[in-house]
Amino acid sequence: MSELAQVVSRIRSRLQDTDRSNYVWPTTLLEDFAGEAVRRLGPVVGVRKRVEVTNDGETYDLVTIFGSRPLEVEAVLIDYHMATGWRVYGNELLVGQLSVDAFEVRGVCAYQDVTELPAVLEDAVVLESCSKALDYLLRRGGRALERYLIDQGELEANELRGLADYYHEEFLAYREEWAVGTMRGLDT
Amino acid sequence: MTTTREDIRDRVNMYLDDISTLFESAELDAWMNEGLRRLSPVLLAEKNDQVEVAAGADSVSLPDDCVYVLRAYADGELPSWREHGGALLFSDVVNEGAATTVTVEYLGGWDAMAADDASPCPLADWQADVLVFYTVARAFRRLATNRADYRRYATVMNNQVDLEDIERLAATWQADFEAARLEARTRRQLLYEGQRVAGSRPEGE
Repeated sequence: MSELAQVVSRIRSRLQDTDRSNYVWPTTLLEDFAGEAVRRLGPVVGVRKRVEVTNDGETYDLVTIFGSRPLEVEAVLIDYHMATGWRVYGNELLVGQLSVDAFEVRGVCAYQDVTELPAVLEDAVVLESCSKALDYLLRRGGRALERYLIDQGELEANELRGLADYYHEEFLAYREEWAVGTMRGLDT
Repeated sequence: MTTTREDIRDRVNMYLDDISTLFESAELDAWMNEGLRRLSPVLLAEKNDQVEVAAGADSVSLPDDCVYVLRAYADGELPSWREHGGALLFSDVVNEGAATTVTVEYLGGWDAMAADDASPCPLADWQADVLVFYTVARAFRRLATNRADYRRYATVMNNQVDLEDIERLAATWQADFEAARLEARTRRQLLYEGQRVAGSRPEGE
């Protein structure tokens, strides 16, 4: 599992922003970019979760079950057998009347935080964060950009743009690569 | 974790940075709600409501924000139905003797976010950045279209900025919004779109 500080350190290292006394990007900004990159995994890759639910009605709030809105509910199981007749609508799971004390719900949830990420996806988040950081600098312009370009060996702004695009493309490729089969989601 | 209006505003301010002082919170909030409305052409909200069919009636008006009915059901059996001109039309009288409450599940426009900062955004956490991108795009668009704001921007940034640069930024953020808007679609939304094209309905109708 990843630590946010470790991820930020990797982002800085890749961006060559390692002068502690004069960082180009504030740490809080890089943390925000990492958070955004984690959320950008959501449309393609998530984490599979299984939750035991006590039977106390016909309708259940999915956020209460999974802790966040799932990308997909894959199955409802009763005594290890696939149940039928359930459906998802909006934020609710509708199971009808069940004659058991508890049942299991399996679903795919979006990652919420870098601390949840397996190492393979940490790489993707580092790449996307670098892309966002360079993009931010390019959009903002000014002295910070000038200084960075000089520090990087007299780079041109369009070269930096190319690098930002390259990191983003890499992120998209990683994201697709780790979307397991048609079911999506990584088993944990 | 649930994304709130305050979370989204904080992210917007992070991107606007020095120039965030040029915008009122109320203005940013209004753009967030506009972003929600702009989401509807590609991603609709799953909603439900109850409508009452009068005794002896064979039709009932649908909620104003209904775009497409997915299901209609009541405690008893309903005649088959179709949707036309903002109403649910039944093939027969629903109940000759008494009014009937019908639950309608439908796809509709997104409701504006609650007026307090702590209420959850109606989008999932992984979808909510779409509103950040839209709001930032609108902020730059305003700077690009108002000369006074443009001068204030140039002063705050303390550098020479062409109007074209700000227009380009607005367009870039807008493009980010468009891309994120498409990615925000869920698998169920795609299923609904398929049903709509094929003219079929979910099971049970």
